[in-house]
Amino acid sequence: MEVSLIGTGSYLPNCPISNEQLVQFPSNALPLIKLKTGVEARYHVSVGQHTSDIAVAACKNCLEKTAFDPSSIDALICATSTPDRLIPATATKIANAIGAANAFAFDVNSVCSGGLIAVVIGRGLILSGAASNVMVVAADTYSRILDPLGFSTMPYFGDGAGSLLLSSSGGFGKIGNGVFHSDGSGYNVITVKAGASEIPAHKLEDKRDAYFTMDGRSVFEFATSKVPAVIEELFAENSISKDDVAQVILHQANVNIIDKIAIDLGIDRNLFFVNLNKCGNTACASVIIALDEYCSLATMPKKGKIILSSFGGGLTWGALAIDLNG
Amino acid sequence: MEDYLNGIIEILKELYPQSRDIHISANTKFYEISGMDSMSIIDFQIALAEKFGKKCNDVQPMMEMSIGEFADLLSSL
Repeated sequence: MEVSLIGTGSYLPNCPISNEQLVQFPSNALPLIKLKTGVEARYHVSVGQHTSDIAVAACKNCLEKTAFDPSSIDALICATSTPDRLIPATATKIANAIGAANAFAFDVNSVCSGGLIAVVIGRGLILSGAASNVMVVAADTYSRILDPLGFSTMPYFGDGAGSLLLSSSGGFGKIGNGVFHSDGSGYNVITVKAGASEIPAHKLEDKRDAYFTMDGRSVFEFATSKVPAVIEELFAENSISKDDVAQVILHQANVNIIDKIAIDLGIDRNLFFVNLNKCGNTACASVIIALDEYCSLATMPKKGKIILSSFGGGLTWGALAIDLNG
Repeated sequence: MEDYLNGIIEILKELYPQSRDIHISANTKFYEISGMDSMSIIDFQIALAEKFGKKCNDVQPMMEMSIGEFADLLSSL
């Protein structure tokens, strides 16, 4: 049995914010944002708009493009590290909203790697026979957990959602075996300390513990060492040649990370998809949003391999390939 | 200069808890502060401005600079 990609979708909120609009920071520091990250703008959800709302919009975008009946979805997996609530899973609300009445819905939290890990799980459900059609939606609203005055985090991230529909038949691409790893010794590198069992909300004493924090230098070193290695591992395990690569879609964290990985892999930098300049790092949604944008291009080839790779908190990292089958 | 040096060390220990266990002196370079990078150094600059006034925004700390060198620059403003 193979697992097919039937369709993709995405949604970016209606509120774009350029670097120049970040007036809370010294104006002479603003050029550093583009220089150090590549980000020029990002989107934030509006007041009253939550992760489930943007996830629903991304799912509906995918369903409309594919004319797929949501009642045929057997499982809905929501990747997010910014759920509407700690309890229950945001996926159940999403499934209800899109009419996936027959879907078993659950969340996956693996921070920025969550989107691809949800794809791996969805693929596994289909291969095991537990499902025929799986909707994967990756959605994050980091604007809700960032310190608005934190220059080392706030400018990087944007809100957004991406979706894809997997099936046991049909489709325009085959989802291959992925390769994924984690390393808990990096637990504190990317984190939000409070709001769960370690520091419950009612025990919060230092507001800073409720904000997202990231050791940027460690993340750069981690990503540029692990991602090339895991992509090479993916190539070896799936007999993929660099000549087969149609496009590489990395987690859209930082353009300097993408540049270095391209050099280390020896793959033409022009084959690396980049949209972080206009929407920032959308956390677990970034690879899926980028995939949707790439699949919407008239120039997307009919054959070849799309290499997807993500890395993030945990620490976690991995890669998988989509084989475009014409 | 001493006031600036002590204030800088206090801010660094506050912003970068990973550095609390290391001895930070005038000779310590910014790149030796665990958790500091070319983006988070701006958070440090913002905290400096809150403590010592907006004139701190006129001097950009660089990762290769020592804390003592930067304190000297501030005291010359």
